[in-house]
Amino acid sequence: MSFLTPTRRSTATLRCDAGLLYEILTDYDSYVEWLPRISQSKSLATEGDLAIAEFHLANAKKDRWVVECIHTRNKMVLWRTIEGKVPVTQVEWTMEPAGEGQSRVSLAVERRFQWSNLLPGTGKFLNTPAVLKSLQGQVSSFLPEIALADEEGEKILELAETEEGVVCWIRGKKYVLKETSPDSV
Amino acid sequence: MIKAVINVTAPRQQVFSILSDYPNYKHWVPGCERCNVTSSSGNTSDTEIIISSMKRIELGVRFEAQPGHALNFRMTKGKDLKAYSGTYRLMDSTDGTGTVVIAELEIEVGMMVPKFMVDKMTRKMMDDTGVALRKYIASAPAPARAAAPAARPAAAAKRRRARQILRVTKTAAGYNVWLLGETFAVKNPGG
Repeated sequence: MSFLTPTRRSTATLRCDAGLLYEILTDYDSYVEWLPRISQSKSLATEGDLAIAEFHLANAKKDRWVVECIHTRNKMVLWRTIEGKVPVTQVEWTMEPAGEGQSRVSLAVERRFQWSNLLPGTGKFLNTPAVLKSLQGQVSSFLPEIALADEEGEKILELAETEEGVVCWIRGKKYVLKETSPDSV
Repeated sequence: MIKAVINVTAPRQQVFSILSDYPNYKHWVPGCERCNVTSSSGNTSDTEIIISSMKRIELGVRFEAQPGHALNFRMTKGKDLKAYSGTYRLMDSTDGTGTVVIAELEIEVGMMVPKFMVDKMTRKMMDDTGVALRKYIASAPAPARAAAPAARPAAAAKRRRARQILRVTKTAAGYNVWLLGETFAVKNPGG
């Protein structure tokens, strides 16, 4: 680490097993749902523990950012920038068990010096505490029983993705939704 | 080392065949005037290449192939460059529509040329090569052009755990809306 290429780190303890974290962190098509400042995400290729993923930033130019990813199941996900004008060279996620039903996840983002880093707002891209907070939100969507355990009141509407497809409950009545093309009425 | 990712809508084996067909480089590699194979043994081939770009460069290049997977190359002789080496790694695209080529190239010119300029030139060469490769595959005669594989259905490609998307709960104070991990309280305006 140096002044010009600083590494930012954050750690959080989440109420889930490392396996769920690993699944979320290697599901590159779904990063768009939770990683801040991303407008598109896609897995380009996967082979064993290697993957190539592509992100489009949510800036005016929709800048493309391509990373090569190395996975160590339930332990580590490492990205190295291949292409893109982003001030990040490497992103390392590590996860480890932290007691009953909990995991500790760490995020280290190694930045590259470029003059545009001095512009206001640039440092917000892959801001480690914000990213971990978003990850926590994504985790809780897979474990709603934790997030919603204490909730009181009448359930009016629920929507969930299941093996059956998207399932909707309206006041306890279950409906299975079918996907249609955007053009169909 | 400059890296680039090239998406090609052709099967991996076909892309590999094109990349390892050295004498035909002159038909698609930007600036390549000639590429002669001088010797070949197993998966290793020695070539003599002439590239006309900002200046005319002659160099000997050794290619080492891992059929269907990767192609490494490095300069073995030449006076115009100090070093020239790289790799093409090939992977099947996740959506099943073709091949992803991860290209790596390192050039050292050995003169008083700033590294950022060499890197910029190298980046442009790789981008141009990607465009040329896609164009060459698209223009290949029909019998030689293998059909691009059909896209893999999204459902078959990925199975996900069940997850909650939305929950709206009516409470005494109004409604609680839980959306993808975030909770929003909507107060009853009359309450």
